[in-house]
Amino acid sequence: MLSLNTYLIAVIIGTGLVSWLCRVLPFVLLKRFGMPRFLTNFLAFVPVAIMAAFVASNLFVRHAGSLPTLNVPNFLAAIPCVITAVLTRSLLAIAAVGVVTMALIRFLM
Amino acid sequence: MNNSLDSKTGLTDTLPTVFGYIGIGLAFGIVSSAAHISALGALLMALITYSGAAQFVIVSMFAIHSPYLSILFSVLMLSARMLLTSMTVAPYFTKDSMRRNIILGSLLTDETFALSMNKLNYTDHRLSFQWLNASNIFAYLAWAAACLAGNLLGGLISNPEQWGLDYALVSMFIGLLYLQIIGDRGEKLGLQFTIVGLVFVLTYIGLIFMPSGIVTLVVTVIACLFGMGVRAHAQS
Repeated sequence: MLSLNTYLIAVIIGTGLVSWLCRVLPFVLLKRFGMPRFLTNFLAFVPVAIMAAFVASNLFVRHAGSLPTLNVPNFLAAIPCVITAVLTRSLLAIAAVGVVTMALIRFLM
Repeated sequence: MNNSLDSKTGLTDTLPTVFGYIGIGLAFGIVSSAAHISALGALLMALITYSGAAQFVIVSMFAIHSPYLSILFSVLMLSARMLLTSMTVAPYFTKDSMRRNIILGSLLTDETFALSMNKLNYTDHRLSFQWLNASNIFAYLAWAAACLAGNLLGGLISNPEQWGLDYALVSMFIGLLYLQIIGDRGEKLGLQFTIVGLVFVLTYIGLIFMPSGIVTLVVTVIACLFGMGVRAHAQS
C-alpha cells in the first residue's frame, strides 16, 4: 500500500492550506497592522479560556440535538490527573498518570 | 520551566508535552492504516495538514468518500480556533521580521501555544524566536515520526485506545490548564476559576447545537468577552 491516490493528495494539500492560513494569517496581519487596544484586553483571557474549552469538550459526549452526556472514562481519568497536577506540577507526570489510569479503566470497564 | 529563552531550553521545555503527541500520533497512524491509507499518505498528512483533530476527521471522511469541499469545510471549522491561538502569540513577535513571524505561525500548534503561554509566567512576559521555533520544530518532527510509526505498526496493534494512549493529550491539557491558572499572576484567581466554570457550562450547552470544533471557538470568544466585561467593570 505504498501508492497514493490523487484524491488523497488533493485533500492533504487543500486541508494543509486551510490550516496553514489559520495559523499564519494572524501573525502576518498583526505584524503589518499592529494591535488595537480592545484586542489586547480580549486576548489576555484566551489562554485559560481555550485550554479549559479543550478539556471541557473531552469530558462530554455529543449527541446532536439532545443533551450531551458525561464521558465517564475521561472524567474518571481526569481526577488523578488533577491530583498529580496539584502535587507535582510536572506535565510528564500528569500525562503518564493519565495514560496509565485510562488503560486501567478500559481494562476494567 | 525557567526564564531562559534559548533554543536548547525550547527543546527541554517541550520534551514533556511530546509524549502527548506521540500517543495521539501513534493512534492516528494506526487509525489511518486501518482506513487503508499508506505510510506515505499518513506521513504527508502529518507534515502538510499538521493538525491532530483535522487528520482524524479527514481519515473518517475519506473512508466514507465524503465530497472534497465538505472535507475542507470540516477542517476549516476545526482550524478556525488557531486564528485565536496565533493571534494571542503573535503580539510577542511583532519586533521580529515578517519571515520569522511566518515561520513561527506555520508550525504553531495548540500544544506549543499552551506551552508558550505557560512560559510567559516565568520570563516576565517575553518570548523569543529561538525558544518557540525550537519548540515548534521539535513538536513537528515528533508528530510526523509518531504518525508514521503508528501507520507502520497499524497491522500489529488493532486497538490503540486499549492502551490509553489517546488520553495523553487530554491529560496534558489538564496539566497545562492547571499550570496556566496558578502561574498567571496577571489575573485574579477568582476570575480565572469563574472563566473555567463558565467555559465548562457553555461547552455543555454548546455541544447540543454545534460540533465540538466550533464549540471550542465560540465558547472561548464568549468567555473572553465575559472576562473583559468583568475587568472593565472592576476598573470603572
